[in-house]
Amino acid sequence: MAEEYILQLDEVSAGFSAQAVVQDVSLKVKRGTIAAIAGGNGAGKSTLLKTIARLLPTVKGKVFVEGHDINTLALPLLAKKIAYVPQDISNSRDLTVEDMVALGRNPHQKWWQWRSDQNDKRAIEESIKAAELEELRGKSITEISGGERQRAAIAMSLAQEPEILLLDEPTAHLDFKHQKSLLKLLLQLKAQGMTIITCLHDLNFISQVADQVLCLKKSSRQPSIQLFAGPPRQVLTRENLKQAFDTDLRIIQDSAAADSDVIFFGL
Amino acid sequence: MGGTADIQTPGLADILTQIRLPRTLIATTVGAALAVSGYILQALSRNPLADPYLTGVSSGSGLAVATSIILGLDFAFMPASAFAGGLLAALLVAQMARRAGGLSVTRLILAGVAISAVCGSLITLIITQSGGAPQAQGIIFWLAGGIAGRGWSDLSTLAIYTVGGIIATLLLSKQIRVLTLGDETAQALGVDVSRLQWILLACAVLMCGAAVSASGLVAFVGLIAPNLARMLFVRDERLEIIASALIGAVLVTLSDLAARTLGQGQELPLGTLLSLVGGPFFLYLISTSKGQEV
Repeated sequence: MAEEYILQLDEVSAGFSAQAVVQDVSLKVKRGTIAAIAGGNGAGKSTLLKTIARLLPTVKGKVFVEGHDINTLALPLLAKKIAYVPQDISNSRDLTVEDMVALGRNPHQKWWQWRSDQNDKRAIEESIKAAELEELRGKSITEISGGERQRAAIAMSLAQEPEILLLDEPTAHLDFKHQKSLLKLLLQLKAQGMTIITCLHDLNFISQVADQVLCLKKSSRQPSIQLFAGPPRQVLTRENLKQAFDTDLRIIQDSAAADSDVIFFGL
Repeated sequence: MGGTADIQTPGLADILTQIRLPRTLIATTVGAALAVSGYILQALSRNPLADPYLTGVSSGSGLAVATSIILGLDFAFMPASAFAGGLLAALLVAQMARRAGGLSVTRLILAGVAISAVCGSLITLIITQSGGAPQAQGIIFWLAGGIAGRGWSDLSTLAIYTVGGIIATLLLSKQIRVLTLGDETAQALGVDVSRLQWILLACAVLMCGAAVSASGLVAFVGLIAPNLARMLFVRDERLEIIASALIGAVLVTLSDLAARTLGQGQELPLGTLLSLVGGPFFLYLISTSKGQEV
C-alpha cells in the first residue's frame, strides 16, 4: 500500500454490535489534508468517526493508518497516531483545564507516571496556547462553558501530538469568534502536516477548510450509504445537496473574493 | 466467644502484645482496606454512593459464615470461609456485569444489589429456621461486625492483601484519573478501559474480602472514608487514596476502641457502632457542603 495516503477506509461498514448504521464507505486521505464528513441527522457521521478511532469495532471492512490495519496496533501506539475529540466531554471530575490538557500526554508516558518531563511540558504549553486557553488554565472544567470545554478537549488532543486528528462536530458549542479561531487553528495545523478528519453539519465551515467532503445519506430501512466524496467545490452542488438533505439549498459565491474557491450556503 | 477467659492472669505485656496490639493493627488495616476498596468502586462507577458491599462480597461472606456456623464448623475456619464466600459472590456479580468489550458498571451495581438480597434472605432463613440454636446468636454477632478475639495470624493475610491492594491502586491512580474523562476518551488516550476496570474491580474485591473475613460486616467505612477524603483533597487522586486509607484506619480503630470500652461488661458490635455514629456525622457533612459536588 502506498504511503501516499495516511488514512484509508476500505469498504467500511460501521455500527453497533454487528448492526451496520453506515455501509460500504471508502475513503483515502492524504497526509496534511482536511477531510469532512457531512450528512443529515442520524446518517451515522459520529459512528463512522468513532470507528476510525477504533472506539467501535468495524462491522465490515478495514481501516488503515500508514498502511497498518488499526486493529493490529497496540492502543498506546494508536493513541500516538490518532487523537479523538468527542462532541461532549465528561466533566464528572473537578480537574483544571491544565490538568486535563496534561492527560493528553498519557500515551507518551508510562502508565504509572504522573510527572511531566520537559517534552511533555512543552507539548502542554503549545497546546494551551494554540487553543487560546492561557487565561482559563487554572479554572475547573466543571465551571467553564461548553465551548470552553470543547477547546480544552481540542487542546488535550493536540498535546497527544497525533498525526491524525478526529473531531466530532468541533463547532457545535462555539460562538462566531471561536469558530473563526478554530478555522484558523485547523488551517495552521494542516500547514504543519497534521491530517484532520471532522464531522460537520456546517457546510459553510466545510467549504472553507475541507480538501474533500464525504457525504453520507440516510435511507429509511437500510444503513446509510456514501452519497458522494470529493473536493467541496466539485461535489457540493445544488443537485447533490438536494439529494443529501432532502431540501433545496441556495449556493452563493463570495463576491468579495471572486477568485477564491469558497462558496456559501443558505436556506 | 473469645478465648481470653482461659488465660491465667496474663501479664500486662502479654495483654499488650498478644491481644491489644494485633487487634488495633487489624482494626487499622480493615479500615484502610474497606476505604480504598470503596474509593475504587466509586471511581469505577463515577458515583459517590458506591460501597464495597455492592459487589456482593459482604453478603456472600455472610452466607458462607452463616452456613459454616450452623454446620458446626470450628470458629477458626470463619475467616477462610468468609473470604471464599465473598469471592464467590463477587465472581458471580462480575460475571453478570460482563458485556461485550468490558464491564457494565450499571449491571455490576444491579447484580450486586440482587445477589445481596438473595444472600440476605438466605441468612435470615438460616437464622429463623435454626430453632433458637445458640449458633444463631453467633451468626448475628458475626454479621454485626467485630474484631474481638482476632490475633496475629489473622493480621498477616489481611495485611498482605491490603498493602498489595493499596500499592496497586496508587500505581493505577493516573489511569483512574484518565478514566474520569469517560470510557471513550480514556480509550482514545491509549487506555485499555476494560482491562483497567477488571484489574480495579479485582483489587477492590480482594481488599474487601480480606477485610470482611477478618472483621465481619463493618459497614459504612467504605462509603464515608473516600467521600471525606475527596472533600479534603480535590484534584489529586494519589492524595485521595492515601487520605481514604488513613481516614478509614482511624475510623475503625476509634470505633473498635469505643466498642471495647463503652459496653457495660459486654462488647458492643463494631459495625453497628460505626453506623450509629458515622451515619449522623455523614449527614452533617452533606448538609454543610451544599453545592459542592463530590
